[in-house]
Amino acid sequence: MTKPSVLWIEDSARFELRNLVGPLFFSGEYDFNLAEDVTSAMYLLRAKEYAGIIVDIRLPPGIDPEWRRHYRQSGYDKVHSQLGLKLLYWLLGKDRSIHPEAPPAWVKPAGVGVFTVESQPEIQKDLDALGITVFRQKAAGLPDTILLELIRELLNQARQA
Amino acid sequence: MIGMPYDAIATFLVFLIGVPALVIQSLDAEIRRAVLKKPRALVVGVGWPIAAAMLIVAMGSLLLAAEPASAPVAVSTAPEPQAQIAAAVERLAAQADEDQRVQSQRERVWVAVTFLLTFLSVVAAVYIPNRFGQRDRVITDLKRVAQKSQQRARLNDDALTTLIELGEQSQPGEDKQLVLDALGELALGVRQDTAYRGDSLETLIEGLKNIFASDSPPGNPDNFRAAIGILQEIIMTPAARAESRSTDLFYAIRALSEVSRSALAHLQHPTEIERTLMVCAGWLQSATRLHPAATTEVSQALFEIGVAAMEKKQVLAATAALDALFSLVEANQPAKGELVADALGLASHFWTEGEAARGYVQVRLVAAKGELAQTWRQALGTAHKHCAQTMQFGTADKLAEMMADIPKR
Repeated sequence: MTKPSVLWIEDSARFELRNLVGPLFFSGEYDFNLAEDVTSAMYLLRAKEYAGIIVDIRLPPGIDPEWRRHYRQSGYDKVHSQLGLKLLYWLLGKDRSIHPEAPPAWVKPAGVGVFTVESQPEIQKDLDALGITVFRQKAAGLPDTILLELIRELLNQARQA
Repeated sequence: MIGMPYDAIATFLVFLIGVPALVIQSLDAEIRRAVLKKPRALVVGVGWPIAAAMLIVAMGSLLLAAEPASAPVAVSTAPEPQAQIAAAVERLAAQADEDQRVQSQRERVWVAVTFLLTFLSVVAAVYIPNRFGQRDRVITDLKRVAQKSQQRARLNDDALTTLIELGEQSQPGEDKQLVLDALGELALGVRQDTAYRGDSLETLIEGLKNIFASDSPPGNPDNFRAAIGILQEIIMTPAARAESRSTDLFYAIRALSEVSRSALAHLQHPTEIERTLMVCAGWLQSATRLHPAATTEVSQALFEIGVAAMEKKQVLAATAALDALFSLVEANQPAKGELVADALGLASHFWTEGEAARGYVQVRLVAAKGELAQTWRQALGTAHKHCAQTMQFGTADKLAEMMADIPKR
């Protein structure tokens, strides 16, 4: 049986990256990819199916003109543009007004989690609309194994769905 | 020409010739080289203010030449001396009036000429530094010319080469980044063209590699990230996917390995690039889903990046490369050949790194045991032979060490 593939879409894990990703590699349980912007995430989602996708809400657009347009319209500010949320609406809501390309059909809400600095109440309405139930807020004091735990929870949920 | 303000005109001409000369002299060497490579554009850009100045002076001179000469004053024929004196006085007065009129006409013309020359000098003083003295303008011009190829989904090699040379000679940081951004936009334009068949970007890919070659000023982390990003996108581009033997794909994989290793070799603090290399390993592995024919190239690139990362103690990047290699082994069961040699070769670097790294890799090796076409001993022997044959003697020695250790465990 092949290892489940997991994609983490995250641009700002600079200092804690080794601590967060180290346990994941050490476990040897997952085929792990990291995308640093929305365009990169799209490329990877085109290339293969992932059992789990973890998305940050604040993401840079990358080089794709359509994502750059959203970013420009929000005043070149990744906090306000919330491209992660737009990506989720494109992926799960199949909203082609966000990006004209067809989203991959295999992405289901049960296989998608959110790991972000926004608090849950701030985006709960969107999470409900998208059917996402796995959420963690990035905050001080999180254990180094948080990403591994999040992935395990997500894949467990996806299996049960 | 009587009345022509030679001093003022000479001053303006010296200014109009001097401004471009000063601007070109004050450019950074690499920008000056790029500007001088396009002599026609330079002559036109620098020459038109001088030509316009000469035209203005010529028009002023023509205006004066076309001006009717002072009307001759009639000589008096009166016999009386008083009348003759009065007539002479009148004649002199008329002559003086006429001279005054001509003089003021000349003054008006030269004032207009001087005003126009002043205006032209101001325009030239703004235009020439803006046109030739700004790095981003020079790069934008080169990019525009590079896009003007006679064929679709192709680039003008001449302008592209000049742009790449500019990137090679530019200082790390913002200067290099401007060129890299332009190259990224050129690559994107070609990749988005429906006529793209995966074989148009060889010069650009080679150029990206050369920009970070050892004899160029090395880039900063952002520069390396930008180059790696461009290459990653070429690898993942749909047009290249359609062509199973896309040459751009293979060039891009090799260039990705070289640029990544260059980043590890050149950066004083390679930790800044560790994350990018980790991402790069994931992309390379994912690319084999799109291009299974490229698995050997990808595994070699992962091996090279992993070994370079281990040598620089960038364990996260090295681990990501090893993890990607084992995922490839898993996806290509029963795995054999260079893929296994690369995976075991990189594993041997972990094996000889210390107890903790050895423990980590041992778990991975045990998990991968059933995924190989050969037994461990055979696979290690094949990998050892492969590394020795390809002059990777250091890795071959580590594999020999690993082979010697394994029966003991």
